[in-house]
Amino acid sequence: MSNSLDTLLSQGTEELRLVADEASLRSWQNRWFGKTGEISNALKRIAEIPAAERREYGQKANAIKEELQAAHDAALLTFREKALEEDLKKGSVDITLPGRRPAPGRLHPSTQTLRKILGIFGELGFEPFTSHEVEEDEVNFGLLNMPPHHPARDMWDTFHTTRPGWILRTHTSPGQIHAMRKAAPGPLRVVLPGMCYRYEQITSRSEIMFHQVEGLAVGEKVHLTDLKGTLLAFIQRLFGDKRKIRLRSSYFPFTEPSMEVDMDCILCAGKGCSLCKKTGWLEILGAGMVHPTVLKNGGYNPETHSGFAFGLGVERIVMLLSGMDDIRQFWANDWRFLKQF
Amino acid sequence: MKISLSWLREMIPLPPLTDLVARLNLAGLEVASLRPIGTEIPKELAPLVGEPGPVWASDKVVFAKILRIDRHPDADRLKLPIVDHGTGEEKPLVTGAPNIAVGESGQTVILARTGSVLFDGHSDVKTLKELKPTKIRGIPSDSMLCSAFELGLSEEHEGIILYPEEIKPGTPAVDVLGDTVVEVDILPNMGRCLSMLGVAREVAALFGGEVCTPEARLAESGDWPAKVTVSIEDPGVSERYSSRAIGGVKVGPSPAWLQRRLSASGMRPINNLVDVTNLVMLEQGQPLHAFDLEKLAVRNNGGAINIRVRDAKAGEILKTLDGQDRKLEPGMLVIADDQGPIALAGVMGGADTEVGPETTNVLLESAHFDPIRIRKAAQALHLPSEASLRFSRGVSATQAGPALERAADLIARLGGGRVASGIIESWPVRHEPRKVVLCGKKIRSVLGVSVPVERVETILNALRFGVKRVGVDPEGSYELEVTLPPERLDIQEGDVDLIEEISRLEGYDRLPSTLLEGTIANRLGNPENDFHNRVRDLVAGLGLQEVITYSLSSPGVDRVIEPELDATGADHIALANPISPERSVMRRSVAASVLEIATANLRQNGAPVQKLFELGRAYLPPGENGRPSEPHRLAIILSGRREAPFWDAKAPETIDLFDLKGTIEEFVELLGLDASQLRLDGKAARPGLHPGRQANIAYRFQGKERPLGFFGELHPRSAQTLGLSGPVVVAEIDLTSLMGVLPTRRVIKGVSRFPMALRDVAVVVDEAVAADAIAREIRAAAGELLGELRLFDIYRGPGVPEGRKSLAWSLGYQAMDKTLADKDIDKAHQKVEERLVRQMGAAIRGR
Repeated sequence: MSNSLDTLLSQGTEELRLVADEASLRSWQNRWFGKTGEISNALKRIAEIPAAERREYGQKANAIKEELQAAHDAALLTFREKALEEDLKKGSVDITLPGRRPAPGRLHPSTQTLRKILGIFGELGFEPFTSHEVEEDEVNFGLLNMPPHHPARDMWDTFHTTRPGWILRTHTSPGQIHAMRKAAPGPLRVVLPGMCYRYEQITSRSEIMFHQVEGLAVGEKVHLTDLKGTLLAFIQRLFGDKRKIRLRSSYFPFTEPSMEVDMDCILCAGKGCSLCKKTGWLEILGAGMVHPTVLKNGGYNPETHSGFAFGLGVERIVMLLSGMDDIRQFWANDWRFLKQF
Repeated sequence: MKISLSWLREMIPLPPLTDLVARLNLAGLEVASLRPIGTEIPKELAPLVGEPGPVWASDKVVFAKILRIDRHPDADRLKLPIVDHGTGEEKPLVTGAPNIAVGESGQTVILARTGSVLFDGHSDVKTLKELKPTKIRGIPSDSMLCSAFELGLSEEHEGIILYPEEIKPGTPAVDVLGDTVVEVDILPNMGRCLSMLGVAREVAALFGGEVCTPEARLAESGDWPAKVTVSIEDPGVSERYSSRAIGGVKVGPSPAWLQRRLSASGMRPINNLVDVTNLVMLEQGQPLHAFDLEKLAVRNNGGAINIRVRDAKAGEILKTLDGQDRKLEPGMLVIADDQGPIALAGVMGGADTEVGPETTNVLLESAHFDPIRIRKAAQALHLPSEASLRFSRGVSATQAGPALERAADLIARLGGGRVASGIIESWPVRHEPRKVVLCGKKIRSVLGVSVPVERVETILNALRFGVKRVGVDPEGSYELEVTLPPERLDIQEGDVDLIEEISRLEGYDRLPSTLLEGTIANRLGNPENDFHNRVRDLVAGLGLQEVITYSLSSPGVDRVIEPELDATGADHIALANPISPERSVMRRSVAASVLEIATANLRQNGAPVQKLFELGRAYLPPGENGRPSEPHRLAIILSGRREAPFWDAKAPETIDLFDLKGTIEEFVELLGLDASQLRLDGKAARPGLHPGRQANIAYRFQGKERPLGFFGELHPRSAQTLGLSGPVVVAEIDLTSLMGVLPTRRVIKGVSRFPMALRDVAVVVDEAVAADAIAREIRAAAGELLGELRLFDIYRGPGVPEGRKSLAWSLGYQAMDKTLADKDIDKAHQKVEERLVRQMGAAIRGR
């Protein structure tokens, strides 16, 4: 009796050795482990075994079952491994094929740079103040110390609307008046971002529309040295902490003293290159101490209060930082341009 | 202002050019360019040189005198001049110059010796070439006589320079003709530096030194050749009119030095009379005018010449020096005699009384005119001139006197005339010298640092301010009484103007850098700006590209989206001076400008996908007298393919209205709003959009529907006109309205830990029934237990009656506190089905 069990093991093992793939293995398993398979049959035969031998028979049959099962599992593992090997071999791809790119949204370069600028001034304590773009001549010029026919009006070529006395603001400075009138006589530290308009030919160097950021601080202790320090801090944050600035005397009707602020060239650090036109310096800001008349028009007493103001062009900064040479790209919004930012 | 340094050096000692340029730049006199005339420019200043020229070496380029001119033995065109060039040797030369001839002698010429580097006279382009010994037709030649072109003086190729005055042979040319012209941009408040004298004073203040003012040493004799009176109609616009007469003048060319100065300053020499008036204007900043006194006399039939500064009368006509008849208007100042205008004050003289070769008696005018009047007149007549430029920046009436004397003196000396005795003038307005009090404390308060009183005095004195110490304030700071020199008309405000002068000349680089003291509480805040930033981030996060477009547009562009707007711009804020018809109004539709960009990108720039947004302003005209409103709007345009094409070659899907709707829904949820509270009014009738694919968007908030904007598909006709194939979907949302429905706090719902059971229902309804209405009924019926609701199929066809449609929904049932039993779910689902049948007249498929 146990002999038949002995052949069972060798027979099963022998048949398993002939199994070549996973499909045949499944037939083998059916034949040996199925409901009417060899193993079930052998186990069912236990009833025919004399009682005294049943225990031994049962143990042996179970041992055979386990051994064959283990042999099956090992074979299965081998087949699977082999199949995986083959899949992997077949599944290799040309990794130089282009990737499937998500389509991200991006912010316009002017927005990105404007945010950087406002962020730095935010940390320096200046909060943004937004103002109108269609503005009264009186606020854009008159209250900023430029009465009609003031020669300084020639510095800005103005778009006039068909409604007399209303123009497109030529700079963010009229916002100074609005901000001061809101805050006076309290202290004020604001940045005024926004679009400004100039009546000009559109060329690679000049646009009819551009973003300006103007800064304004008014208080009882606001000095020219603070203006210099604030601008130095700003420029070093934006362009790197090695940057130096230079203040040149200039003229704006709404500040006194007035100055142009240059920084040493970001490419050549002052040695002279094509970006700075060999001068070593880049003109970056206009600035000055708020003119007493403007303070008065804003609601402050110039005897007790002083202020500083400065203004810069956002697109010019983007151009400096990115090496762009055509300002018309900003409002053309060509997707091939925008996706580079 | 073009500054000849050889001229300036006669008025003030000059530092090295590099230092001069550096300090002028910092002090507000920005150097725009340098023009060397035979001189060498230091290397570090080379970028300022517009056109490099030859450097005339002192030992190589010298004056010479022609002793005689011999015939060339072999060539008729060539001549052999023998010159004295200061070495004692008689130097033979070879030249082909047409302006000297065999047999002549005595001319003063300029000789270049071997090794000189000059412009190549044989080339039309300016190329520098070193002079080397050579043989011309067999005769050795190691030097040459120079043309103006070779020296870099002018474009004149023909002939050699024949200098009109005798110069000692051997004198370096650079010592006589050499110069460096510094062109400086003059700021509006620096009108005083539109004169050599003004610049000399700045240099003196920056570097020290005494300014040498040219003095007139006038010898008067005899009576006036004609009877002249002068008067001023309105002393408010002309404070002074002074005149002198010079008789017996011989008009001719000016001497070389004068012509050189004018040329260096960018003015064309004309004759000795006009040149002197220009020279004195350049020197002192006071424009002058010379009238032909004879012509004045003839005009007045030999009677008295009554000159009057007056307002022009309407319809008066003056023929100006340029030969043009100018129609004058009140507001323009004229110089007139009894017959009518003879000059446009401060702008241009009249042709009738112009000085010319025949002139013998001159009436010289030196006057004060109101800057604004001159500026307006020059602008109105498009006649900018050197004179009007200076008058419109402001010239003090006190300057008229010295300039008149200086010019009369020069004319008499150069033109051989005599200055008639006495000045005839009207000077009704005389100002006391203005005084300003300047305190040390104020200087400290503006600049942030103290400036010692001695330093302040030095700077102000150098600029011709009178300074007197008048006291000490309670804090121990000085008080100064500063008297302003009359030419400082720019000083209007008082002490801060003086503080600017002090800081400007001290140099801003000496100031320390500090930060503002203390922090201040933010009083204004800008939640709107914060919200705009958030919107930009969210929309970009949804895969849309931000654009910024021209806010100047045309009615036509806006009318693509809003055809109801007036085509001529009557509904817009229009520009009075547009640069082009495309940019003639302020836009009313942000979406329309974004559409322009999408169109350009899709059609010209080869973009496969355009998902664009702009957060910008629309500009709406005000009602009567109000301020225009400039509401911020979010505009979205989607068009083209849903995704960029890929190499796996799946069929491209085209963007449609539901891409846009989904974007809007996701966007409002990202803002913390509930997309199910969006109310879409499909009955919107914007003619620019597809009639069946558009809606007004509102949001249900605090029991009311708040309008937010609209979205829809561009009308196919418009899309076709723009050359776009496939749908273009567009939305515009008003950001102020959107901000108004934002929740102040965001309530987050709990998440169930228990499994969700899915049940489907296919609802057959009439075509006209909106999906949204069915969803509302489902939600109402299922109540709390409905965790999820999704439409997964729309079917029309066999099994569904004509005119009806089947919408298949997947419902996810879920409770917060337990796993739902089948019978609970069945009960809930049955309620949903019953309600749909009852409320919507729906049939449930498969039931």
